[in-house]
Amino acid sequence: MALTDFNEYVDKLQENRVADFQLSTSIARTLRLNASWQSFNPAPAIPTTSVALDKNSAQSIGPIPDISTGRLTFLGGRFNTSTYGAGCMLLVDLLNVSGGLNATLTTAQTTNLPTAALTRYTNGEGVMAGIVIYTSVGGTATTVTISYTNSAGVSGRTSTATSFGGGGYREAAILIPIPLQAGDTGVESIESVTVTATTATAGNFGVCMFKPLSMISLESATGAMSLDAVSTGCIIGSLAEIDPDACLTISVFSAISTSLTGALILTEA
Amino acid sequence: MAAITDLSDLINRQTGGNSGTPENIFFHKVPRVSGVAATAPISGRGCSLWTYDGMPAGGAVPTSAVIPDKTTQGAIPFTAAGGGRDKHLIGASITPLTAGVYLLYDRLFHIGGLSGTSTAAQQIQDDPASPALTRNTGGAGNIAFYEIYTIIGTTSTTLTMTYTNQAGTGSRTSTINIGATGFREVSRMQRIPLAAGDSGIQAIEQIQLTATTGTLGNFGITIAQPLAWIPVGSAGTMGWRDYTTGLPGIPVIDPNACLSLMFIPSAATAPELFGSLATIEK
Repeated sequence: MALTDFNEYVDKLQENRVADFQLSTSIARTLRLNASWQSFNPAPAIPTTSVALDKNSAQSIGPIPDISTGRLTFLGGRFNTSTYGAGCMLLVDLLNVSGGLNATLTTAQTTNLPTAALTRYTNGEGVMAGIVIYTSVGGTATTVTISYTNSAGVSGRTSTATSFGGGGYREAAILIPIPLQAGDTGVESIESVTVTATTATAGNFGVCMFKPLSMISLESATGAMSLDAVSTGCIIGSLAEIDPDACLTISVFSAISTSLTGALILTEA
Repeated sequence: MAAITDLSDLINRQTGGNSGTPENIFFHKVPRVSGVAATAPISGRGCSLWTYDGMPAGGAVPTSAVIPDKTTQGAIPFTAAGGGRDKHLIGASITPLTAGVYLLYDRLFHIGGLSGTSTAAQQIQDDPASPALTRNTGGAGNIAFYEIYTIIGTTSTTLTMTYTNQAGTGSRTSTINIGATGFREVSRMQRIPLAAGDSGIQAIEQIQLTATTGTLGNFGITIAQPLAWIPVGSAGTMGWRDYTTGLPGIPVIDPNACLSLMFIPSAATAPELFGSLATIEK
């Protein structure tokens, strides 16, 4: 089913079916993608084994409204930053997470890998991979690669080396997106992680896989910032379809150190 | 091309009605090229993100005259419109580490391997054009850049471009400076102006340098069709455009488009960015 017209859209907004979230702390690092779900209140545990996530996971915004045969659709939301300033909120379906990797080892690490099998977007098309840091790694800048299976089912793919360790790439709760090998358009699973040189501190980090759903501009907001898919702008990917079992969560990229609370408005269309 | 009728039509198609086939496309770039830290851009001057690592992976430096398309390494992937419908770009956003103005464009043609020391005519597409453009072939709105792949010399000289304009008139010429600081560095992407009265390019016959820049280097020529300018006022914020409410209207994405990015930075910092494109079909 789809929304028929503007009137039905307004009717759906008025149902006000919301899913709430609250960050307990300011984002870990400005000018970087943050694994903001690690700051949810209550906070998710640091993962050990790779865990396939869903709407009941601690990393998920909730409650996700139950639907019958329709399409779970993102209509908008209400957002509050704690500090005056601007940023971006990436709305994602977080598919799996794992932890327990060591930032001083330079061998291919397979601890808690391969990643749990995808339960949504199962062929991996459009699925992105990232590094999540749970305990700060070292201050020595190096690079990291992953070995993965791409969305065509080809294993043994190697990502292009990207920055890891050192300022901006070491702090707890940041998310480092992984550039894929040429020609690849998604990730089905991750088999190992290799740090090129020691960062000088083991820390604790892992990998995650996520499917981006929408980008939301937080524009100099303090107090309630109300956005909807049609009338306010600021949402690219508005009216996005959300899997009914999605681990719906956020990654904040911001110019300012801010906390964030809010609610997503969802509907069945 | 069928236009989107009204707001209700838009909402209906965005939620999958009437074969709207909504597709939200996401991409990211990191400030590295082939795994190595990217050369810092020049503040206020155009910088190509074609070779930047990310998702999609960076494009390769062209070694010959090529018509890139959606299957070319480096192109932002998308699903081509089906059923005789057009794919409409209804929104775009970028949140970067470096503020500036970002351009989403269809990379219509590119060539590399040009010399920064030769003063002979260097063939681009020749006349008749080979390869000829396969998208936006009329040329209206197409723009040309020179793109630096390996640093050229420190001596400023003049590049003369000979081209066929949007009206099909050949042997048109225009000039731009090349070489020396700000016009020689890797990833620099400098727009080449057109002759007075021209508003597009069907083909580029050749380019010629007036004098050597002092270093061979490697540069190329790119023909682009601009699709979306996305300004980002400060680092860490999200620049966004909603084409259903803002000018220039709703661009159509060619089914074979080689979607690519360039930007004009406001700081000399190689960008890390995350972005999205929202599309529907009609």
